Amino acid sequence: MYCDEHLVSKSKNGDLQAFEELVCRYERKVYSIAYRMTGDYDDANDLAQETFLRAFRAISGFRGDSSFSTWLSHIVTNLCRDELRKRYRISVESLDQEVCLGDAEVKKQIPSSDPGPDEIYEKLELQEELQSLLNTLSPEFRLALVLRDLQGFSYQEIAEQMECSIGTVKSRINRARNFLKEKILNQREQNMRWEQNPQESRLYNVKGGDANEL
Amino acid sequence: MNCKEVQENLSFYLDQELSVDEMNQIKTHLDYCSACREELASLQETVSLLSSLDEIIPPASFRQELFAKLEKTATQGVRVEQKEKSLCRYGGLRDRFRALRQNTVFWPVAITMVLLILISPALLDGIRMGGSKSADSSLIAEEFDYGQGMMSNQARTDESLNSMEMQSATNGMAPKLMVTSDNNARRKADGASTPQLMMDMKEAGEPLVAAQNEVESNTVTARKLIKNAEMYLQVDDYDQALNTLKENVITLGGYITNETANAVDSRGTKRGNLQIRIPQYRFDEFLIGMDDFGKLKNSYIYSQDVTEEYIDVGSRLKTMRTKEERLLNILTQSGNLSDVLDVENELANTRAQLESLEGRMRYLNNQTEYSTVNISLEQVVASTQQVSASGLEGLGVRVKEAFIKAINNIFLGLGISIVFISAAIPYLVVAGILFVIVWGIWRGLKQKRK
Repeated sequence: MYCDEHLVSKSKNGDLQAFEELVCRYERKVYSIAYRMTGDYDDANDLAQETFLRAFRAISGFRGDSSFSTWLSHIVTNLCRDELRKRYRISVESLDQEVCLGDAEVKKQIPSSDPGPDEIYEKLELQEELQSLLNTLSPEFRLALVLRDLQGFSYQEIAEQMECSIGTVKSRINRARNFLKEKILNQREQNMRWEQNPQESRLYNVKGGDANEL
Repeated sequence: MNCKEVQENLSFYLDQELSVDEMNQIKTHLDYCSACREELASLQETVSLLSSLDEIIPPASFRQELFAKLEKTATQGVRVEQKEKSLCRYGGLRDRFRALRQNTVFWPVAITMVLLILISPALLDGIRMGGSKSADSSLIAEEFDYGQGMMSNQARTDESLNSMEMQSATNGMAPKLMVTSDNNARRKADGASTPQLMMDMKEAGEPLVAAQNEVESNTVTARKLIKNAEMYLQVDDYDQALNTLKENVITLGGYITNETANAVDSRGTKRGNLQIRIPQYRFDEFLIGMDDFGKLKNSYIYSQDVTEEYIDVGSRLKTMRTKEERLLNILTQSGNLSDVLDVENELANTRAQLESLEGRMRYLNNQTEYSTVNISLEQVVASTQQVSASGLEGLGVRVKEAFIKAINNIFLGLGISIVFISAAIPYLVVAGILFVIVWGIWRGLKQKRK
């Protein structure tokens, strides 16, 4: 198995197979970031492919200041951010007027008569819920969160990538986290209420538009 | 620190993005503040929830589609990229040139310029040919307005005509015969006298005074002119024009001295030259008649006034004759041998001079009697008077010539362009240096802004 640097230098020389090997290594990561950012599988598909294509075209200019993986994530997050900005330009940017973006999941009510939830199922569901919550964030906040908590970049790196000051980064991360935290707590409360009142739950199929409750 | 402050900074506390001092402060606060501890816990949970988000496995089609696209890009771009790589070593200028080469505007412009350079000699040649055709084939240095020529000659013509008329009236003979007739007789027939001329006829020698007086009273007063013309005509039918011209000449009592053969040149035009002599008194009549022949491209009519010389020669002739007579008289009177020899010598000299003078006189007479007209005829290829297929004449030769000419022109063009480019190199070098400087500065500024 070759190391990344070796494959990169081979790709620079036009070795397509070497680059394809790199693709195999990082496709999940890139795809995940794209999905987390956009909340849509098709968009993620397109953006991830576009990321790799651009990387391939620009590989000769890759100086190796950062790792290949970091470089890739830069490309994908930029693409996603641009795409989101383009799409939701009309929508608000401030966190305070959050509007639900993208299709949110229908909050399924788990009637107690069903078999007990599998742990995996719960986890999956949880993840989907989280994603839908993420989707409610505006692009800048989403990006900050994804870079920090999903990708693990440092504040400095995030500031460089988002082309803003560290103060802005801090503020965004903080607010985004708090927002999510509130949402999750509210969601939990609701879930608990519904569990306690199964009858009620059947009648009220609440869609994921929690914006009114904020 | 109060709870509000702490809660604001919990995020950073988690990420350890605070100063040591601040971290400690919060830590202390958390020790005793359960509310804040709860906040921290829920925040932590949120973060860990986020972190726990799994990587998503892309669908199966992802790789296939991507690889297909990559291969397409690779075949298109790999050559370009490799060139890019090798060119990148030489800096940004090479990139500019590469971009320029790939620019869709560049190639048509470049090809057009090269073609222009190659064609330019032919173009210049064509312009030269069309503009001053007469310069190639005419024999004269400057153009002379035919109408004007007529006017200025008119005055003299009247005079000479008068005198000529009087001559022919008295002699009743053809002009040719005038040449051989006795000068004296002719002189006597001439008209009015000119006092001015009498003044000029002052010669040393008493014995000749009597003869001179006789001469003076009979001096020719009309001007002696040599009238010649050169004309360049464009005609519709060369052969026909030539024949008509010859007939006219004979009708007017002239004769042909020279005739050059007509030749068909590369454009299919027929050309020829005719030199004729026309009696001077019919000169103007002849010239007017030329109008009917064809289009007069240009003409050159000039007169040479040889009156002075004519009179001079005439009087010297007279003197010589008288001298000869006197010498003969002296001879008959006889004397001793040495005297006789001297006289014979003198006589011989005199006779020699006489002959040369007579020769000169004959020449002058001939020139003034007859005008020389040099006519060049040209038959145009595309006559506007009638349809003719003369444009196709001599096609084989013309095609070959044109072909060779074109090839020569290409070489000519190449030579010109090489010289031109060489001359331009210094300018390009200077411009290039300036450009590099300016571009370097611009790039530097751009970097700084970033």
